[in-house]
Amino acid sequence: MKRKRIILIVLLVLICSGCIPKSYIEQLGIITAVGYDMAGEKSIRGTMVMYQFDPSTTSASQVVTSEAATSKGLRFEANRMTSHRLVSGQVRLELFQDQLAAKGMTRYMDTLERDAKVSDMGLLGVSEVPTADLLKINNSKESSNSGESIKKMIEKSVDNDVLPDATIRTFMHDYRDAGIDPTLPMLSSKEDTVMISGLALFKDDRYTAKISPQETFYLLLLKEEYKDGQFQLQLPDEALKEFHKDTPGPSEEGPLHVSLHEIDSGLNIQPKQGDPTEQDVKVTMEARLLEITKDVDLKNKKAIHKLEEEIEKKVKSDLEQFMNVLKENQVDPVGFGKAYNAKNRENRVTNENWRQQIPNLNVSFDVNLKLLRHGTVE
Amino acid sequence: MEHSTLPLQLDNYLNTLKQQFNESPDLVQKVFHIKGQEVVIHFISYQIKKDRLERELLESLTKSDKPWSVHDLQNKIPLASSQTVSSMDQIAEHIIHGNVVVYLPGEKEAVAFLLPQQQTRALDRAETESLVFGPQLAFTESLVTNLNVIRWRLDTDDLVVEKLIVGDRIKSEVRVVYLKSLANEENVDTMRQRISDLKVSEVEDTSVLGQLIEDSSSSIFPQLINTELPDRFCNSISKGRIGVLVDKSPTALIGPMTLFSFFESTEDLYMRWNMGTFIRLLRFIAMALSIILTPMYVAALTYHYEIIPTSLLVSLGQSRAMVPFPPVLEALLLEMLIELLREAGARLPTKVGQTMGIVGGIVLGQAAVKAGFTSNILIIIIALSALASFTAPSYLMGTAIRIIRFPMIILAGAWGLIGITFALSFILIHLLKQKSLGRPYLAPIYPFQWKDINDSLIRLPFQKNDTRPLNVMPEDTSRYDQLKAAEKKDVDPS
Repeated sequence: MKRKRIILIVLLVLICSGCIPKSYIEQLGIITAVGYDMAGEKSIRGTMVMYQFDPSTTSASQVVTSEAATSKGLRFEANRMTSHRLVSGQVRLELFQDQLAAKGMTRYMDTLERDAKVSDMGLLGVSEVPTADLLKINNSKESSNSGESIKKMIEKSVDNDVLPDATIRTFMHDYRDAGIDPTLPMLSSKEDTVMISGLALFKDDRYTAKISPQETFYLLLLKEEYKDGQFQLQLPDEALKEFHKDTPGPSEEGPLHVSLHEIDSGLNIQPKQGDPTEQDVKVTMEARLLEITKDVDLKNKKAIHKLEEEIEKKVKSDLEQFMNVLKENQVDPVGFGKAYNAKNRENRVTNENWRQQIPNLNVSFDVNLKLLRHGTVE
Repeated sequence: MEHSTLPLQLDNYLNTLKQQFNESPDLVQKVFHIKGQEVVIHFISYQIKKDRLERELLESLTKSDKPWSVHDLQNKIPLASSQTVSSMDQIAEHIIHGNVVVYLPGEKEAVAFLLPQQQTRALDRAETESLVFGPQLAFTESLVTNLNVIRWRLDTDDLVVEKLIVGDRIKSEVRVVYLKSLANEENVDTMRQRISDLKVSEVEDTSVLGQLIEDSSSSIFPQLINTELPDRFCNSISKGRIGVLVDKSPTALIGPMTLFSFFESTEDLYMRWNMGTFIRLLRFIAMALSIILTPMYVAALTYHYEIIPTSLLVSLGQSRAMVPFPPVLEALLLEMLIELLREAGARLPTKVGQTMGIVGGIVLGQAAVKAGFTSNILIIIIALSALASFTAPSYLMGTAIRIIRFPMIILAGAWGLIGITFALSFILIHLLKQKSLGRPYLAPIYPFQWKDINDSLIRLPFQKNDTRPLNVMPEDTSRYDQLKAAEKKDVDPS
C-alpha cells in the first residue's frame, strides 16, 4: 500500500512536471517598463524596456517598439523582434501618453489588473511627451535601463512626500471608490533628461488637467499627513517690514521667500452632517524654518509670530485657490466625498452624483502653523 | 560437545578446552604439580595482566602447604573477583573475558579469577562535537571508563545503572542510565523493553543500537541523540532523560528527544543567556536557510522570474546566461561537488585533507564560474547552505538536513514553488507524526507547551529556567524556586 503510494507520487512528479511551462531567466526578455502612445485612431504604439541576457553583450538592457490594437497585442508584435521570449512578470512601471490617458485608462488598467503576473505595486505615470522618447533617453550611462531610473525617480518622490502614491493598486482603488478621483505623476523631458513636471488629475479614468508641483504640495497637504516634507513660499514683500534688522543687508530688496523643512502636518476634514458640499478642513503644521531671504530679526518672538501668521494666511489663500482649480475641472483628488461618506449614513455620495456636486463644494480652511526651530543661535 | 560438564579428568579436560577454542595458539594451558596435586591454569595470553597473574595468583598458589580445594581457591587467594564455573561453555566465556581459570581435575567446579587487560585509549578531547567553551572531555570505547566518568559527574546514589546484554552471537554489554527520582517510569520501561526485546546477532555500536530501537527507523530524522560528550549526557540525565551506553562504543544514546534538542548544545548553557539564545536562534535560521535557499534559487530561475528583486535581476541573469545547464542540473551538480569535498575531506588523511579543501573550495569554485559551468550567485548560495548545515551540534542531524536538500531541489526543478511547498508540508507532516520513545517529537511546538519554549527554542537566564522539559514527563518538574535562585546576598566588607 505504502509502496504504491510512493510510486504514485513519483509518477505524478514526472508526469505533471511536463505540464508547467518552464521559463528560464536567461531565455527571457524581461520587460521592466512599458510606455503607451497614440499611434492612430485605433492603434497604440508600445515601447518596452527590457532585460535580455546574452553572454556576448555587456549591456543587458534593450528597448523595442511595436504597434497594435491592444496592450497584449503589443507584446505579441514585439516578440517578433527579439531573440528572447518577452514576459511581463517584472513590469514595475507603466507610462501613458497624455493624449492616450485623456481617452480613458480603464481598458489598459483592466488587463494590467487581471494579469496575475503584473505586480499590483507597479508604478504608473502620465507623460507629456511621447513615452517612446522618454524611455529611449539614456541619461545616465551607468544605469543603462531608463525604465529603472524613471521608476526610482517616482519612488523617491513618493517617499519624500513630493508626490502622492502612484501604484496600480492605489490608482484602481481611488478610481473605484466613490467620492475620490485618482492622480498620477506627470512626466516630461527637458534637454534629454526625464523630469517630473507635476501631477495629472483624473476625472474617473480620464486625464483632465495637470497641476504644478506647487499645487501638488497643497493637494498632499489635504490628502495625507506630512512626516518630513519641505516647501518654499513667497510672501508679500513688505509683510515683515517692522522686524527687519536696522543694518540694511544685501538681501533687503526683492521678494520675501521662505523655505520650510521637516514639515509635520496634521489633517482633520469635518464634513457637515447630511451635506457633502459643506466641509471644514483643519490643517495643523509644524515646521522648521530653514531659509528666509530677508534680514529679519528672528530672535524676536513677535517676528516669529508674525511670520507664522503670514505663512498661515498665504497657505490658506493658496488652498482656496487650489480648490477653485479642482472645482473648475470637476475633480476631487482629495476625497472630500469619501470623507463625507466615512462619517455619514444618509445622503451618501456615489460615483454618479458626486461629479455634479463638486462645483458647489464649499470648503473653509483653518490653517495652523508652528515654527519649531529657526536655526538662530541665541 | 560431548563432555561439556564437569567433573572431567585431566587429559579429557585439556582436550575439550582446546577444541572449544578451535586449537587456538593463544590459549595457555599450564599444569602445576603442587604437593602432589595437579592444578590446571588457563588463560589467553594477551587478555590478562601477566604481572598480576604471577604476583598475586601463582605465588600464593604454589606456596600452599596443603592440597587445594575449590573452597580454598576462592577464599585464600588474594584476588577480589573470583567466581566458580561449572560448564565448559562458561569456562570458555570467562577465559575470553580476561579471566584466569584454575581447575583441579576431578572437581565439579573450576574457579575463575578476573585479571583483565584491556587495550583502551585514554580519555581525549571531543572531536565531532567539539566545544569552544566548556568541558572538553569525550567518551572512550571502554564502558568501564565511561561509567567511571558518569559516576564522577553525577555523584548521587539516585543514579541507576541497569545492565542488559544484547546480541545472540556476539554479546554486547548495554547499560541503561537514569536518575531514579526523575526519570519517568514509562520512558525507562520503554527503553529497557526495546533493548531487551532486540533479536539481533550483534550490535556494532551505539548508533546501530539507536537505529534499531528508534520509533521510526525509516525516517530521515534521528529520534535519539548520539553524543560523545559526557557533559551533554549527564545534563540530559539530570533533566529526567534516559541514557544508554554500549560497550566498545565511544558515544552514548539519549532519549526521549525532540527535534529542537538536536540544535541545542551544552555550550548554550555555558554561555551567558543572551549569547546562548542568539546562537540557538542562529542555528534554526541556518537550518531553514540550508534547506530552502538552493531550492528557492532553482524555483525562481526556472519558473518564477517575477519574484526576483529587480536589483538582483541583472546580475543573476548575466551570470546565468553563461551556464549551459538548466538551474536544477546546475544546483545538483554543485551540491554534489560540495558533498564530494566533504566526503573526501573526511576520508583523506588529515594533512592531505586540508590541501584538498583549498583545492576543491577555491580552485574548483573559481574555475567553475570562469568556465561558465555555474553562476557565481549559486556558488554563494551553495556554500552558505553547506556551511549552515554544519552548524547543527548533532552530526547526525546535520547529515539529515544535507540529505533533505536533494529531493527538495529536484521538486523545485519539477514544480517550482509548489514543489517546495509540497516538500515542506511533507516534512512538517512527517515531523508531526514522529515520536521519540513514544513522546512527541515536535514538542514544544506541537503539542504546544509554553514552559518548554524556554530551553528549547531560546534560553532564558537560569533564574527563569525553573522547570525541567515537560515533554520528557519527569517525575519532578520543578528544578528550583525562581525567587530563591535569584536571591543574592552581599557580605559587606567591614
